[in-house]
Formats: sequence, structure tokens, C-alpha cells
Amino acid sequence: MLNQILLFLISLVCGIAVSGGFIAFIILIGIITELAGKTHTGDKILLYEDMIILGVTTGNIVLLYHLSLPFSQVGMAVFGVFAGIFTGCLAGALAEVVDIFPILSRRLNIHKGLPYLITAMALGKGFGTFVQWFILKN
Amino acid sequence: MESVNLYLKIERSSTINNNNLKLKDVGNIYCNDMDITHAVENMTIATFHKDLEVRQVITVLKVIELIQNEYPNVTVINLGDPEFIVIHRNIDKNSKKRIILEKIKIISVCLICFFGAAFTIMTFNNDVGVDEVFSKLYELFMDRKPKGNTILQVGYIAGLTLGMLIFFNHLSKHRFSDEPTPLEVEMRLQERDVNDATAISAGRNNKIIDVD
Repeated sequence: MLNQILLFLISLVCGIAVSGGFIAFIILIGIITELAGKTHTGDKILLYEDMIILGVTTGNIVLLYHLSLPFSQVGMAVFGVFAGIFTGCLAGALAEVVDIFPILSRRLNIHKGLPYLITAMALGKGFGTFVQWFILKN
Repeated sequence: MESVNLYLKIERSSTINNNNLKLKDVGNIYCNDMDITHAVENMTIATFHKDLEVRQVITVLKVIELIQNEYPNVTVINLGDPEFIVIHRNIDKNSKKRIILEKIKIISVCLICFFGAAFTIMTFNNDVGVDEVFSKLYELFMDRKPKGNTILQVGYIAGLTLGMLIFFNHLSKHRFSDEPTPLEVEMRLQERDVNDATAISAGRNNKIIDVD
């Protein structure tokens, strides 16, 4: 019994530490502020925070308990699209945070056409994922 | 004639709806002379085209020039930034289309946040092998292999949620303290960065309203 309690306490602390890291990452990378800014819904930021908390909790429970989710293809499509958008934003925001584009444009003396560069990167990510799943795996 | 001090504090950025930009729309004025205060407040600084959505940078110098043209004996003291940003957006805030559009946007962002967070935590757990670590930990403590889920998973889930609530500092609309949440802080920082960038690039492209 004592062992069980100890295990519980350890995992509780583990969870708190992981969530701290998760939030620090999400906030530092500025993905939610960007989304709220782009949609002019900055006043709904608390709602978005709730959604993050809810999402992390749900995802965690689903994965750890191998829950069955009877939503078939439609549910998977919804999940795929929105999780994809989020991951795309994450990749873009990560590139932005580490100042890849300003450094690149300074080093290579490119002052115009940065939007094309970003479009190329976005298309490249899509293409790369496609190759990975639909070509390399077959 | 005795000189009068007029204190000017203009907001860094503001959104206006009407076509004539009055000083009272964007900032506060304090002056001993009530007549001057009133007149300056209603002074038109700039006019916008009706249906155009523009982001205009105006320098405080221009405002000072306008005031001094009217009242040469007034000394203007600026308490704010040297330039300010006016966003002119001529839209009906209460139109049905706009409200529906905004609802759609909010729901989309909510869905992205929810599924995105769910997806990233799953990939994280998979990536670092939480399941394996937990089964090792269980063996260490209980001297036998775990059958399915254990108390560790329960604690981890509880801890994860608890930690998020502590860091984000609120449970829905109920806050644990009156401090702004980390996201609200970040939001304001980003707003400041956007304003700075707007002012700088407008200055470089000569799209600024300044004294000649």
C-alpha cells in the first residue's frame, strides 16, 4: 500500500513537471498568441487555454488507457486535419522563434521574395510527409 | 500672454470606426484651460477613405504641429511614444455575418488547440517512452511486472492536468490569482512587437504622417 502511494506521488510530480515543460514550450513558441492574433480573437485567450488543458488531458487518457474511440473515418479526418494544422503552426513558429528567416535573408542578402521562401517551406513539409507515408512505406 | 502647458498621452495603437480621426479617439489630453482641452480633443488629425481598411502610423510631432498652429502659446508635453498607430476599419461590429464569422474562427482555433494538444502530448509520451518508464518504475517498487494500467498512469494524468491549471493560473473563468496568465502576458508582448514593427516599416517606406 505504501509503495502504491509512493508510486502515485511520483507519477503526480512527473505529470506536473511534464505539463510545465509543455506549457513553457507552447508559450515560448507563441503558437496560440499567433492564432488568436490572426483571427482577431485575443479576448478569447482563456478559452483557448482551457482547450489546451482539455486536449492534453484527453490525449493523455486516450493513449495511456488505449481507449476505443468509436468515431470511425469522420472522427479520424477531423482529428487529422486539426492536429495537422497545429503541427504545421508548431513547425512554422519554431522556425520563427529561432530566427531562421531573418538570419537567412541577411546571410544570403535576400530582401525580397521571403513569402515565396515560406511557401516553399510549407509545400516542402507537405511533400516530405507525403513521401514518407505514401512512397517510402510501400 | 502666459504660456499654457498641455499634456498629451496617446495610446500606442487604437482602432477607430469613423472617418475623421479626432484626438480624443486615440488618447488623453490634460490642460489647465478647459476651452483649449475641449478644442484640442475635437481636433481632426487625419481623415480616412470610407471603405478602406488601413493601418496608419502618425507621429506625435504632426499632432504637436497641428496644435501649435491653432494655439501658438501652448507648450505641448508628450507623455507617450513618439509615434502611434491608428487602425481604421469601417465595419459594422454587430452585423450578423461578422458575428457568425467570428464564432467560426473561435471554434476553429478551439479545435486546433484541443486536437493539437492531444496529438502533441501523445507523440511526446510515445517519443520518450512513458509506458516503458512506468513499467520499469512499477517493477522497482512492487517487485512484479505490471498488468495493464497502474496507479502510475492515474497519477500522471492527474499531475499533468493539475500542473497545467497551476501554470495557466485558471480553471475556465475562475482564476486562482488576479495576475495575468502567461498567455495573456505573451499576447501583450506580441502586440507590442507588432506595433513596433509596423511603426518601423512605415517609417522606412515613408508611409508615415509626419511634419514636412
